[in-house]
Amino acid sequence: MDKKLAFWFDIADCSGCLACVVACQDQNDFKAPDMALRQVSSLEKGEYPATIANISLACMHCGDAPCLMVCPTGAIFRHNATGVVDVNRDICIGCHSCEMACPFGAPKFAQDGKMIKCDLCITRIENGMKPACVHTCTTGALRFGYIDDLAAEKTRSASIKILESSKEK
Amino acid sequence: MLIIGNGGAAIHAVTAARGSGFEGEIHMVSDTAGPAFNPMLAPYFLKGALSWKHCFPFGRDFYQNHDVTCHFGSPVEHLDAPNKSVLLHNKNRISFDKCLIATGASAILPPVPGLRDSPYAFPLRTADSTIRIQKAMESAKKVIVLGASLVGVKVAEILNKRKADVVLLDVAAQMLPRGAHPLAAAKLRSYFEKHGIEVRIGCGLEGMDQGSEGVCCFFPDQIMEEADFVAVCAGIQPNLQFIDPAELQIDQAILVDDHMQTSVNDLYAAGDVCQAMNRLTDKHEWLGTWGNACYQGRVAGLNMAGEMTSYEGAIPQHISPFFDWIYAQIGDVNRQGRNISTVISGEPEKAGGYRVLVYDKDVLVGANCINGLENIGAIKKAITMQTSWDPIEMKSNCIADGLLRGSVFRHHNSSNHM
Repeated sequence: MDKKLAFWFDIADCSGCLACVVACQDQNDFKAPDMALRQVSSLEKGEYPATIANISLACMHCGDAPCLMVCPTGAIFRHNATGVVDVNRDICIGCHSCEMACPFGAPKFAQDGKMIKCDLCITRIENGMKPACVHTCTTGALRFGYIDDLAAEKTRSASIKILESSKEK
Repeated sequence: MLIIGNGGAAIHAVTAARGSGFEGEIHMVSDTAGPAFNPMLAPYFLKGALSWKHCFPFGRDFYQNHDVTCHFGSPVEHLDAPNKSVLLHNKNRISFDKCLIATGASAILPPVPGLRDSPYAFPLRTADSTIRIQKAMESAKKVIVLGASLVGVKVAEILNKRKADVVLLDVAAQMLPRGAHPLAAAKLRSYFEKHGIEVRIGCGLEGMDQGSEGVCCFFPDQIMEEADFVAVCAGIQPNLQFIDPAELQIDQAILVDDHMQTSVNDLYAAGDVCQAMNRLTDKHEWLGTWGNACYQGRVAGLNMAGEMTSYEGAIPQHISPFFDWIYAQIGDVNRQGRNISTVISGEPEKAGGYRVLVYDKDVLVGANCINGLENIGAIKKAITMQTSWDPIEMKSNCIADGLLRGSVFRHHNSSNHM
């Protein structure tokens, strides 16, 4: 694998607007209203005024993907160039083993009984565009990029925060 | 490095060893002549969901691509563990530094009089047995399915879809006796009966004999029925016949440690032939699934190649479509004790599906789900992690692991948003 692509999600910036979910549905031409490859969940903590956090979740394209490991036909595979975990629906038998293996609920099942999952909008990426959910995210909570670049950026922003907090003191 | 067997565990051991940089010789011995067959796919092939070619998911080129020397078509007759060698059926002897036993399991042929010698008894496990039962299915009008196991119910479904009369038989008091809660099993039974399958539970097959056009089956109370054949789906047993039980520790299957090593140094076991850690019980148990075999093979392959890695264990689990339903069983739903409570909710045909959740105090230990499986992965994770839950209210303190969140958060989608 050359370099691995991944989503970046910042929980502090997510407003729970669900634009990412709608963008996913639109990009994939899903007709069923409850079908999307990304979901947004809310977590409330404490009494009123409770702390509410929103989490936008799609396939993590795991480094050691359990869905890929348990797939009995080899239908689930990884793109070598990008690390994206994808499915060859022609040989998916709809056994749901991947659904049981994934703790994030990423594998979904279409009307034909076969699995469908987030492919990080690989076709859009190959054509110089962002994934639909990232493109639509109104607050910048969702981003994407190569893991090394994202990790470097995270380190940089964390360092800035530490420096700023030490200045305030 | 010698690998005995040619299934998921064996293939993943090779992949892991080569992936870790192991450049030594890898020899593979198997009784089969072709590429690795996945027995889990046999019912899907018979159902028409998959071509024959794709029942061999690693293909023919795998061995050459991974520089494996194949000794195929000749089973191991004897493993000489102390002297680190195996004797093949063709009388060749192969020595090894390290060896993986990954011989899998075979279908059990129950000791029913007349069954083992009958040309009308068809187990389903290997590639050859899949082809045999496929041919038998082509013209079958009535079939007895012996064993309401996970394979048995799938075979019953396939035969029903082929318009055959099907009797699904099991001596146990319910369908899927190994992993289903009695109430979930009852739901499945009525569903199968609604499709026209006759389900006889608590009923054994007492004998078989040649019939006028097929086979005569003898049941209790001197009942005799003719059928075209008997599909034998009474479970599987590990392939151990080439091992001297005095040489390594064997319970139901070969006992291994966390590194997938047997009681003998440099001798490893993985897949359906071994007993590895059940995380629910902290005991070594026989949990044969395709996924477990692949993970175990990977750990064994890495350790044989000189790495030091551990198998994290597994829990009992299965998920499968039956007709238009999806059924999942995880953990232990039949645990007994004063601290056990069971929460049953929903209906299979309604939104959210049907769920049986079994708790030991506040720890979720087992689940049966029919449909409504959108968070089944999180439930499995919860059971595996033995997380504390409030069984009724599922308060936020049940979230001990961030991975569980999907099952207890409020989920939104665009329809309820707009």
